[in-house]
Amino acid sequence: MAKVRVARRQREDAETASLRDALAALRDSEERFRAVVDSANEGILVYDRKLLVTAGNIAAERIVGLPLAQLIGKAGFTSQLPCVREDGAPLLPEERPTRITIRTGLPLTDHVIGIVRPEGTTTWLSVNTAFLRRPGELEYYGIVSTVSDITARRQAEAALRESEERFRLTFELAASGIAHVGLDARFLRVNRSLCDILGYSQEELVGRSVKDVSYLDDRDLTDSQRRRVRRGEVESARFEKRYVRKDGSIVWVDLAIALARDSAGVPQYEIAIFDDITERKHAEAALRQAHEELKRSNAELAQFAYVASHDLQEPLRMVSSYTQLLVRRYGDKLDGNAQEFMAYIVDGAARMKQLIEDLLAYSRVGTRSREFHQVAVEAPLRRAINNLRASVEEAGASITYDALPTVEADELQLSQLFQNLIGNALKFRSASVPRIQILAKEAAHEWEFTVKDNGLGIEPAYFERIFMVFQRLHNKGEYPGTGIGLAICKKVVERHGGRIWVESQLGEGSSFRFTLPKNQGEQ
Amino acid sequence: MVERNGPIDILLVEDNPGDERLTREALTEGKVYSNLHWAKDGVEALEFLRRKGKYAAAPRPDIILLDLNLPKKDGREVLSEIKGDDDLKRIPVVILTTSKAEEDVMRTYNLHANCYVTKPVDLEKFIVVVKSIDAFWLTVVTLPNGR
Repeated sequence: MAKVRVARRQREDAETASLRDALAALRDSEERFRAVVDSANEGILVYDRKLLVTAGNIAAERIVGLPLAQLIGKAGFTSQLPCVREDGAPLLPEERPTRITIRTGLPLTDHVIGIVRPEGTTTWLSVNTAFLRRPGELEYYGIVSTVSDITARRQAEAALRESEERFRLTFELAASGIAHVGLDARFLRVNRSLCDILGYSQEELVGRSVKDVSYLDDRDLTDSQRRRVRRGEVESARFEKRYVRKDGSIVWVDLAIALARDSAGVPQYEIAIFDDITERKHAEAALRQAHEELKRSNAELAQFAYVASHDLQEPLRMVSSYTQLLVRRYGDKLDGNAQEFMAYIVDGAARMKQLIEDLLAYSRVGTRSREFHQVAVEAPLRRAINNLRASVEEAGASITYDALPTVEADELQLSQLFQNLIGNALKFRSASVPRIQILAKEAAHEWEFTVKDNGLGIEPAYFERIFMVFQRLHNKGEYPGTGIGLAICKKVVERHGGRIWVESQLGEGSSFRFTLPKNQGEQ
Repeated sequence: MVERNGPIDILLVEDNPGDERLTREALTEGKVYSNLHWAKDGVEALEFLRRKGKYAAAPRPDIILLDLNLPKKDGREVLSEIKGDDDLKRIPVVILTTSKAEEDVMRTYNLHANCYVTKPVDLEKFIVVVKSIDAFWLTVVTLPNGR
């Protein structure tokens, strides 16, 4: 018996020992498990079959925002805090993740719900659930739920969505046509404006080769520009080319292309921006045509003036010469009246000859002029004064001038300009000794010259009129001349890109001012 | 100045009879001892100079007065043919122009005319011009490149 007892005790001791060991192992395992659970970043909550919380970790406390003491033994945070579904609607009790799990009998993965905080913000959670079963049992004894805070991820996703939406809207609403073109030259994406420009729908364009809508003659141009961009020689290229619309009409486009590359620099697609410049092109062509027309008509007019004045002279010479011959040969046989009439014929012919010569000179300012060179203004001025020497001496006039600049001009025409202006100053002098000054004043882009006299002066009413062809302020008896001088001055100055005007008071002398650009290239 | 005994032979190339007559009268008024020969166009002028057809007996002119506006062959072509002909190029040619403008245009062709004269509207001036032909181009005429 004793033997048996001993054996039993021994067995019991052994069992006790092994139980102790097992318990110790279990305790170790549970501690390890507890340590793992507590150190986990995800919140873990364990529910019993009645869906009351039986355990939880520190992360759950942090993520949910309730102390474990307030959770344990209760129905979980979704019943204690205001929660919403992923779409923002309030979370109904049957929509709680644990209930869904039980109802469907399936674990949940990445089920999103939100907790609405008192300050109005939402903490977004991703919830996973799983059934807890004992080994060998089919029936579950609880549910484990893991929750992670995905608020930051959701915000980033929302920001990305917003940004994408902004760019999509920009792309879609842009007034310019925009396309993303694949490296195989097919349209990947096109916006509405591009559809309008090319006359195709979005569906028709996407997948179509760009070459299909390019104007045949301009394809090489596009290819060469595209190659430069692809090779990385230039970041972007901009050029004008034509496309053929769906209806067959041609549209002019100002095209800008650039290459979109990935972060490794590998080309992904081409970004192309199209601006419809057809109207501008048509306007340019019309302007060019009008310009050509004007040039041709101006040339015709100049030719006409030349021929007219030339051919007018011949009959005039006949009238004048034969009248004079008549007087010369038969003058002694004519009475005084006849002599006087003849004199009027001759005088009329001479005046007409002068008018024709002046008209010819005027028309020649534009048609038979020389190219512009650097001219020291003093040279043509001196030449003009020299040409007027006789009149200057006769009038006892004094002519003085400033230091004068060098300008880009037609020297002969400048000399003609000064000669006409100084000639007028001498001609329309007052009773006092003529004093004529030539002044030059520098401005930003031009020189302003003044020919100032102490002569008769001009009434302001005539300031414009005196620059017109054959406009005179005095009768022919007082002051001879056809009235072409200032018209020629105006034409010369305007041909040089300058302006001419007069400042004067009757009896106070006149200042004729004109400007010449410093550099003809700036015109 | 070449010594001369007989009248000077002048070839006037001019299509306007009024001008021809006027030149003749001016020569008379100016008492220029001359024979005026008249060619009405450029073709006739060259036939005269080359003694072709009816001009087989034509004299070699001492001077040519050449109008620019001629039918068939204009003055510029006539001048260029004369100056390109070794036999004729030594005959002095006076170009008669209607205007200074026309003279400027002609000068641009650089055809070696001996001088240019703008036909004056005034008879007195024309007589002076014609007289100067006798004294050759010393007074009214403008020498080429000599302005």
